Amino acid sequence: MQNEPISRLVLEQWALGMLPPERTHELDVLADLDPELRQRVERVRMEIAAAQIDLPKLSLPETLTETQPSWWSRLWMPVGLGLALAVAVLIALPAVLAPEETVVFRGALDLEIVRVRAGDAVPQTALIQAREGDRLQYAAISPVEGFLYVFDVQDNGDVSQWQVTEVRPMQRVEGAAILDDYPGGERLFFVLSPEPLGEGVFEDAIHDVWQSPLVDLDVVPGLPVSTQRSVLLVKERL
Amino acid sequence: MTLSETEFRILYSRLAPAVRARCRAICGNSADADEALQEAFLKAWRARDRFDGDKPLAWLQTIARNASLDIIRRRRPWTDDPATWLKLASPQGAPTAAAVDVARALDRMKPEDAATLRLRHAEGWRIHEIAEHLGMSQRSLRRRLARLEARAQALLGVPLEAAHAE
Repeated sequence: MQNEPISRLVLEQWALGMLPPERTHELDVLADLDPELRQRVERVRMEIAAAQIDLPKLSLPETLTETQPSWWSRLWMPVGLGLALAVAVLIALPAVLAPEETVVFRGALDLEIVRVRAGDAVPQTALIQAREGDRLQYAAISPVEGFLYVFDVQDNGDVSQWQVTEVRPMQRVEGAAILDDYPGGERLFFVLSPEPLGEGVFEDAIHDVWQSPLVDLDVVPGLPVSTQRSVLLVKERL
Repeated sequence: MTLSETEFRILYSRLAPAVRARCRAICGNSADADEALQEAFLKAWRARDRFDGDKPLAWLQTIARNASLDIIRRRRPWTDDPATWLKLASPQGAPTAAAVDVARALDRMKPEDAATLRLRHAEGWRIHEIAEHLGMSQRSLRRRLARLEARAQALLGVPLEAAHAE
């Protein structure tokens, strides 16, 4: 008996996490047996991830009026409240548990990175393989207000600041860079600080821990109260 | 049951990337795709009182398909990325036709036909995916593709190869 082909709509729902858990599990099992199916859903995931970048703002006529909440808001409200509670716990719990004078994570920094090469956008994880001329596009969402810094640290010790942006809660910050011909490893640090970092603070913090190889240095200790995420960048040999 | 503006904006933030990805596949370039995306969500907003709350992605993708086809019907000449059309001319190997020739050849076909060829040969969609997308049977689509491929081959002077044999 031949299985019914998986439709594109189902692939999209699967990629977006919209399917019921049982159906998702069923498809995961199928994909483990069928590399082509896995390839198809990964392709859909990549296309959706690429379409997320620079998504235009929704423009609706100005004459709109808010209508009464319906079944839809009743559906989303518990989810929203749950998310808000989770964010509140993430913010409050580490502050309660952490001893003084240690790095306190005030909230999770949501980070997405895509590598664009010859028009193909590929979502990245904590280890990025890239080469000269690749474009790295990133988007970070901070759950709290503060200042978001993006630093690049090369394995020869050079530090460069790519970006600093004052952020509001849940604001999406986007940026991009074309990679140069530096052949060694690099690490990108995304640092969210409640106050502006003083001049040279990040560089000094890096200098203090410079004996650590970049591959192990996923967090820079010694910074003022801040939350950090970082990704390791390894250059491919052409 | 009518979606409020807030609910509709939540729908947009969650589903617009998937809708935009499909618009890109049909339109062949980002500018037209974004125009189609905006039109689709505007149409959806205006039709929100007819939305029954079931399968929002399917509802939006249908509207987006029609909006994308409207855009490419209005568009002349083709403004697709030439690399897409080169891939269509020869997905497996070196290009055998100049991008401009391919664009001109496709410009002589109906937009829906050109979009169907693109989905099959440049985007690598499966037969059943295109049939579902166009709302037709696989059998009808195969017949239509055979006719379109023969026409494209006559216009281009090179055969079209499917990205995935079926």
